[in-house]
Amino acid sequence: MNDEPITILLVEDEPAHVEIVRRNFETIGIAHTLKHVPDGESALDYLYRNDSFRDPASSPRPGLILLDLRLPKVDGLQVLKTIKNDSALNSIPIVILSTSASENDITMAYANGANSYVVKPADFKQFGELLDSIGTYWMTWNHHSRK
Amino acid sequence: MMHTRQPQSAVRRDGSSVRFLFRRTGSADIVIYYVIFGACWILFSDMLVSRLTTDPFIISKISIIKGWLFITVTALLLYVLIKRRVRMVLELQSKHLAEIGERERRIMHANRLYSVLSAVNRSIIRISDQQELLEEICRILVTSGGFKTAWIGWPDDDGWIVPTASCGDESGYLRSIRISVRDIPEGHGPSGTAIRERRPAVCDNIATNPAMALWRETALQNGFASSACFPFTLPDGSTAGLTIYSAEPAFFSSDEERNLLGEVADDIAFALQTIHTAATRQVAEQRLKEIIDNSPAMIYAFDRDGRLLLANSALAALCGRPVEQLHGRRREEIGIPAESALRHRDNDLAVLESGTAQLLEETNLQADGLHTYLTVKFPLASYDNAKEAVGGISTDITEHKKVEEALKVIRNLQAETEKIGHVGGWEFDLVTREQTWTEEVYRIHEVDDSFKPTVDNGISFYTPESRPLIEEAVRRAVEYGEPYDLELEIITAKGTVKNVNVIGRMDREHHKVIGFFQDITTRKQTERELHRKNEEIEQFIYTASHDLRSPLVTIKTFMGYLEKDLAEGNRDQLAQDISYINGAADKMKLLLDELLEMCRIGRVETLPETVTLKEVLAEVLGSMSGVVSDRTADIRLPGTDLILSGSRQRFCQIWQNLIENAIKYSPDASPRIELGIRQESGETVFSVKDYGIGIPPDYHARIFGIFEKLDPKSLGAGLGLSMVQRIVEKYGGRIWVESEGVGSGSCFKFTLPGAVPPK
Repeated sequence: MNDEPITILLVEDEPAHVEIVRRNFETIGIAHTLKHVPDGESALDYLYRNDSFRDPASSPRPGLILLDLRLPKVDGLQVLKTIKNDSALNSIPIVILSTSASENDITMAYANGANSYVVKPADFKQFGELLDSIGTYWMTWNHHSRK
Repeated sequence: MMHTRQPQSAVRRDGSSVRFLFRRTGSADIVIYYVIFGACWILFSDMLVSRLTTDPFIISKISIIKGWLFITVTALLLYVLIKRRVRMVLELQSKHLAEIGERERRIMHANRLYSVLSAVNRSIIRISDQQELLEEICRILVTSGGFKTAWIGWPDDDGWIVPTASCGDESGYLRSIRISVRDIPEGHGPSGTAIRERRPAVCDNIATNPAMALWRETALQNGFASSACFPFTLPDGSTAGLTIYSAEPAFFSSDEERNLLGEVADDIAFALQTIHTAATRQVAEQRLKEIIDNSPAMIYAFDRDGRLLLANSALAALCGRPVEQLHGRRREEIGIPAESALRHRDNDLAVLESGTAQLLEETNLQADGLHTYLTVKFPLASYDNAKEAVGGISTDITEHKKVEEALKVIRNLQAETEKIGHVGGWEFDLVTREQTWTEEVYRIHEVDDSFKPTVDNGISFYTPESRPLIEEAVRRAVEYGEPYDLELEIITAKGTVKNVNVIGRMDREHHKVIGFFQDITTRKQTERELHRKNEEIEQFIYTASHDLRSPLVTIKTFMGYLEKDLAEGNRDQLAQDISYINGAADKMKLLLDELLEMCRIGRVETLPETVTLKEVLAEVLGSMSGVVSDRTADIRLPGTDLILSGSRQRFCQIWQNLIENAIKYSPDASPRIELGIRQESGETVFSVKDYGIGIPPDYHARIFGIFEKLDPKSLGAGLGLSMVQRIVEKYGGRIWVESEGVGSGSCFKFTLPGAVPPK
């Protein structure tokens, strides 16, 4: 069991979806911090502590990244590649959270080192259960590398 | 035994000695013998008496006895002498008479042989048939020459002499004997010897000659005493013999007779040669006539006046009348149309003028249409009585011409289809290593006709990437007969890169690789374009589904929250839930509207209208007056005007999108937007320049993608620039952005090739 509070970085351009994730994790009862960035560029800025993300206290290294694929500026796949090609960052588990169930997207995501790929269900109950499971698994059961 | 007699001049010498003997042994010697004897008697008888006695009486008595004795002795002496003389004279006389007889006989022989020779020569002139002539000559020898039998024959393949013609052989002697030319007993008779040794051979006496042993009995039965054979040469070079039998022994012993008979043999040889030559010439003439007559080509000769001298049956058939009726007539008189006749005759005269043979194409209008003839005309120095004539051979090539015409049509068709389809053919001769290209292959390579293709310079046109492929394919085709079909790239003589489809296969029978060569550059471009469009459509569908799904997820989830919040009475959150649902629904509507618009751009527009740029900009700015005045934007219009042809609405969409973006991404108050028209490297470039946030170079291409948004907060579905790009490309133009990066503003530029300056 992983008892330490965990920082989750949510990379999502759709505010409604951010709200859904936020609401679900609030009720999940797991100690965590949810950080949100609206596009790929800011996600990389966050991870590399650029500009407004300079302070490690307010922008801690995430223990899990929930990454949408279709993002403005730098798209999700590019963010994934950058993280997984960086030895300082590649241990952070990345769960792709996408509306696309396209085979191509799934293949490309895993090829570039995604740890998990889940499709946002168009169903309130299912979406809730999915986020619960993600939370339980990645934040409770999964052991994170501290590097 | 065969021999040649000594010359007979001894006969003449003997004749003169007879006269000499007559002079020497005449009456004088008898008188001299008598005087000598008488004188001796008187002298020595008285001396003897006087020695015996002196008694006159006895002397007288003895003298009387002596006188009688003298008479008796002298009478005896005279008798002996005269008798001897008379016998001698008689002997000489009989010898002389025999000599005269012999000469007469020879003269008679000679006369007969001369008449034989003369008769033979007459018959040679008269008779042209070989067999008939030979038989006639035998007959002449028997009847005029007085020979028992005469025959002519030559050896067969085994060397047995076969009589061909004979006369005087009623008893069948010739059938009963076998004579050979070989050196065997059957070949030792006169005929065998003469033919084998090619010289006259004589047997003077059949009865005694040992060589005649084989035939003696039969020959004697037939009354043959002597025989001779005279060889002569046949036209084919072999030797034949004329054999003659005489009832007289040694008939052929004299030179004169043999010479005359030898001449007969020579005359036969000459006659046979003449007959043979005539026959050969006749055969040759007959053959030539047959060739001329059976020739499908028309063979003819006309004199300078245009009168026909010679015609073959092909010409006669064309004229529809027998050859004999054509002679001496002009062309127009034998059914050649006047116009054709005139041209043909002009050609005749031209040949006569030039004095050399000419190859011409002549036409003649016939019942079944116009015929074309390939004609050789040549001058004839003389023909029959004509001083000058023209010979001609005309072959009907009408069918060839038709085929040629058809081929020409097919070739033109081929050239045309090659041009249309950019398809050519080629072949590579493995023996000569030469390549043959059709016209289009030259055109595809952009080389002129003087280019001489070989396998090596042909391969050198391929790009470095394609070269190993074609070389391998050709090698495999040649070695294993594997056909190939490749899409490759060449660089033409003018440096154009072209896509080509090369298909080849081995033709083992002719030791050639033959194939097909097609310029597929356009198709390849279309394919690439299509591929790009397909990718675009895929992307479109993908993004559309993704982006449509996103608000759907939002709506469904917040509907759930809505229910939950309602149930839990969490009123604070209800408004938020509803606002998310509304936002998602709005987004969906916007997305659907833009998708619909996007689809419309690709469709066929109504008839293009002519509109000026000024009108378009006025309309755009009119519709944007709200936002322009809100932001107090400073929009600078271009100084010049252009005429555009197309859809006014689409042109407005281009400008409106670009101007809206320019205002949107210019955060300063009263942003300045410059609209421009400039000539850049020969094309009209439109521009929309702002001094706003700018675009990093990495994004310059991406911003035109469907649903691409640089700013997640911006309104719209991210289709604006893709739509602009689609419109510009639809009008054959292109669009790009120039920006130094963040904070340096952006300049969107595009071209519209159809834009022209106003008149």
